[in-house]
Amino acid sequence: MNGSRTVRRASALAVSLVAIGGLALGTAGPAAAADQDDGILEAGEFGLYYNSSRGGCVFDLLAGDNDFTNNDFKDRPTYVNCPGEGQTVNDNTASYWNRDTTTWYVYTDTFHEGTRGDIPAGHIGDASSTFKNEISSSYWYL
Amino acid sequence: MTAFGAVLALAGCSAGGSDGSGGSAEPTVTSTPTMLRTAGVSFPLDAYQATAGQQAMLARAQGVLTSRCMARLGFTYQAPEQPVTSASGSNARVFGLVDPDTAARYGYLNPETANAPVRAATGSLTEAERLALSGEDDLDPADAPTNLEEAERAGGSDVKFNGERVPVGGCVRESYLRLYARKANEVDILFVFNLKREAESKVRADSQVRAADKRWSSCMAKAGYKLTAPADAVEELGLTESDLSGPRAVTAAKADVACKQRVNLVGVRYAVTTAYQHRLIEEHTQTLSLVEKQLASRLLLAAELT
Repeated sequence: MNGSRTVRRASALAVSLVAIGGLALGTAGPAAAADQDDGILEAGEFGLYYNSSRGGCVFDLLAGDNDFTNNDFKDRPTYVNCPGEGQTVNDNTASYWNRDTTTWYVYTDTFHEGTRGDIPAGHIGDASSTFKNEISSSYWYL
Repeated sequence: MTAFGAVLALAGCSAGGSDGSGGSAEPTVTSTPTMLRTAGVSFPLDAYQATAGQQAMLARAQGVLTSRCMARLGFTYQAPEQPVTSASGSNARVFGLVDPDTAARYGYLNPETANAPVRAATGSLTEAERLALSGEDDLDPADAPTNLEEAERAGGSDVKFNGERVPVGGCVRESYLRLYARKANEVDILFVFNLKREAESKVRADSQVRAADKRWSSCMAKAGYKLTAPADAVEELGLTESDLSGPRAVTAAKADVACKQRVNLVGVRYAVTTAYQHRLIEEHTQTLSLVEKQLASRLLLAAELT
C-alpha cells in the first residue's frame, strides 16, 4: 500500500516525573529529545532491527507508522553501513527492543491489518526463527 | 456468526492432515461457515493470550512496577496511561476490509487509523530521570538480563541513584522482567503471536484460500476492476493514503466487499486459519500449557498490583 510515513510524531515522553534526590553529577539537566527514524534507538522509542539479536540497522519509532513500505533502514554515525542499510523496513524485522514506556502493537499488514502482536515496554527479543520479517505497520496505541 | 462454534469443532477434528514433521501438508477442512464479517471473531490461539481487558490490567500493573522501581531510585513517577482508541477486537481487520458498512462509509480507510491519538508531551525528563527510567543510552541489549532471577543475581548497572543501583535497561526493563520474565523458563511473550504469524503465512499460501482469491478476482473483473488479490487491491487501484476514503475508493471498496461476500472469502479464511492454528496447538502442546500457567500467574500478580 501507499501512504505517508508517520501518523503522529511525539515531541517528548508523556510522563510526569519529579526528582527527589540522589542525582549524579552531569545528569541533572534535561534529557535530549529522541528523533524518530534516525537509525538510533533512544529511550522512549520502539526499535525494529534488520537482524536477529538486535543486529544490523534499526528502525526507531516514537509514533505510529501505517506503512513500512515507505521506510528504509538507515545507518548512523556510530554504525556506518550497518547490515540492512537502504533496504525496506517492510517485512524485514528480525528482532525488537521496546525502549518506550508503553506497549507497542505490530501488525503483519499495513494500516492496522493482519495479525496483531503486543510488545510490552521493556521487551527485548527476536521474531520467530522460522516466520520472521513480516511486520508492516506498528503503533503505540490500540 | 452462530456457525463459529460448529466450525471450530469441525476444523479442530479435521486438522490432523499434517505430515507430522512440521506441518508442510495442508490440513483438511471439512466444513466452511458462511461468514460476512470478522468483528468479534476469535481463533483457537486467542485462548492463550490475554483478553483486551486483561491486557489493560497488565499495562497498568507494569506501570505500578515501574513507579515502584523509580521510587526506590529516588524519583516520583506516574506511568502514562496506555491509550485505547479502538473498541473493535484484535481480529477486526485480520483479513483486511470485509465490513460493508465500513466500506460504504470509509472506503479503504481503516477507521482505527483515522482515530490516531496525538502523543502529548506532559513533561520532559532530566537526564537523571531518563537514565533511571530507561537505562544507559549505549546499553548493548545483549548485556541486559533475560529474566528477573538473572537480573537480581547481577545486581544492576554501575550507575546509582539514592544509593541504589539502576537496573540494566532502567526501571522499564525491570518492570518487564517482573511481570513477563520472572524465571528462565518463562515462555517469550511473543510465542503465541509467532505461532499466529506462522499460521497466517501458511493460510495465505493454502490452495483453498488462493482459489477463493481467484474467484474474488473474477467477481471484481465483472465489476470493472482488474485486480489480482484482495491484499493488493489498494495498491493495484492506485490509491494513496489521502485517497483511501475518497469517492473512487468507496465505490471500489463496496464492490470489493460485495465480491468477498459472494465468494465467502471470510468463511474460507476463517476455516483454514482455524485448521492451521489447531495443528500448531497440537505441535506445541507442552509449551502452550506453560503459556497458560504463566499467563494465569501473571494475571494474578497484575490483579494484586492494580
